[in-house]
Amino acid sequence: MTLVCYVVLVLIAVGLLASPLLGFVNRPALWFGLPSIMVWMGVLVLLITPVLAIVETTRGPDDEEERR
Amino acid sequence: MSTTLVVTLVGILVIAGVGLLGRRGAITDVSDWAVGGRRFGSWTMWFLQAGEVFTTFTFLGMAGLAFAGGAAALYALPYVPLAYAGLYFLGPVVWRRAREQGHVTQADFLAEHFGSRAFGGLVAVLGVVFLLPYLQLQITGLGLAVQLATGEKASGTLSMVVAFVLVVAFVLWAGIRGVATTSYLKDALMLVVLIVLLAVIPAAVNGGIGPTFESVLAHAPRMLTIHAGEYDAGYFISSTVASTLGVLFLTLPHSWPALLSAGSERAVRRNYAYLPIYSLALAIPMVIGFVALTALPPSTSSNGALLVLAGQVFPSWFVGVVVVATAATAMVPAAGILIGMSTLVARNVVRTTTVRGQTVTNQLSVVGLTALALVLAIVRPDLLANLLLLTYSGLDQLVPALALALFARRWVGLRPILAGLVVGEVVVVVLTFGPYAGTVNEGLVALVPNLVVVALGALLERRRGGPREGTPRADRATESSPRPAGSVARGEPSVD
Repeated sequence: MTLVCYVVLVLIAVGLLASPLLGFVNRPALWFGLPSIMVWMGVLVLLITPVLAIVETTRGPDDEEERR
Repeated sequence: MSTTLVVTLVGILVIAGVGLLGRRGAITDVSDWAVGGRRFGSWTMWFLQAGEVFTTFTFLGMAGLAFAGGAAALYALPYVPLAYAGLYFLGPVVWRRAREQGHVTQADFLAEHFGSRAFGGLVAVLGVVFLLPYLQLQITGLGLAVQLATGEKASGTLSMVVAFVLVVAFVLWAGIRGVATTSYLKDALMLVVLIVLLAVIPAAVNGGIGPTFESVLAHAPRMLTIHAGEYDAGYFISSTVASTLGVLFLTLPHSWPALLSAGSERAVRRNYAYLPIYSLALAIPMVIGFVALTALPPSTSSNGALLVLAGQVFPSWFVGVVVVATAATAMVPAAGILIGMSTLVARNVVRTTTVRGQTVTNQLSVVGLTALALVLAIVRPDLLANLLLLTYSGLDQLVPALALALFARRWVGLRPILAGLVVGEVVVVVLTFGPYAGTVNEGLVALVPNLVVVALGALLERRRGGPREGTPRADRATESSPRPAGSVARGEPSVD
């Protein structure tokens, strides 16, 4: 599960950085009444917290802090 | 005295009062004052670090950038969340080592890793020099907000002086705990004001958010995209990468006290996990900037776009509340910046030998640095403006040193790091003030020769048998027992 989360985080980073290069995102169009690129980036940013929350909840007993 | 100015001054007094109330018992030394005994939980850390994200730039700059560059303003949206996603993993490493070694500043961390207090001093001087214009930016931002809202330059100057005298007072009295308590107030106020602005301004000017963007689509469709020109894709991607690297590797010295004040690794991780979602609030002033695009003449000062719209839509007392929120976004980050700068001076530049000496140096630094920034903001507001251009790009040149210092072992010695840093800073200065006309971020461009020099230096070191300076960190760590929480590092002053 954690590996999947890492992959998703990398994809989010790539998706955000590549935003201006993605033709279907960086164009004068509105999605839900907002600029398409703003919605695209907003959704990707929104995904970071749940993905990290999953990483946090699935942390194993090897956590140094917990061993103390 | 106008209603707006009265509300603003009362708000500034309330913010400072809350900061003064933040103190809890006696503060024993600079470490306690700067990192609060390393006992803060996720909740307090959230507000401390959110306080650093939302500065006057949030209120005035984001709206102004959207007004001037449209969707290009979106570069400011992803870099903090991306960096925090990385800091979810790196933050605990820094926190743990700093706790074990008693580090309080970025320079402590680097000096320890590279085995050179002189290098720590150099990093501290760079940090202070690059942060001074950033501090001044908060002061001038506050003054500009009051001036734009009241239409009187004198009111702006008065507000700057009152606000920053009070900032010095609560920073000296309560340290980082004062910053934490004001952060609660600031973020609550800022969110309420942002939501009201979002709900009212688009509706009052264009009939809603949807009609606002339909108007932009009809009359200025290019502004909905990242297009060719000053704010092209190169600007967007390089600025995002450079800013992400800067935040991720904690190059801004004032980001350290908030991290090091955490009570546990879990608090650090949870904070970095949950903060990205909060960064979405940056989109609100961007929407206001798009409203300005449809309603204000192009000659309008971009930084004043939000306040001009607020003045057209709201009664003067609420404009005062908006200015108070702006003032809070100046005062609270400025307080954090002051703590970051003064601890650098007290611990890494002026090497006092006693706790009392360090405390006095620290207090004098807070007063002196604020006075300098305030006087320059009033008398020569353009003097530090050029230096501000160097702040982020210049601090980005610390990325190789900070990245390598995350490893327990010293893989690269001081000399390659120092050479790379010098080359990087020179390139940044040349690009910033020279004929460079590209849109790729100067700091990112300068990182390339910086990294090349570090890599070549490291190779030379390998050929000569590895880093020569001192013993590798990992070996030294095994030689000494871990320090208890809140203890002090080697070389720290003794109790007077």
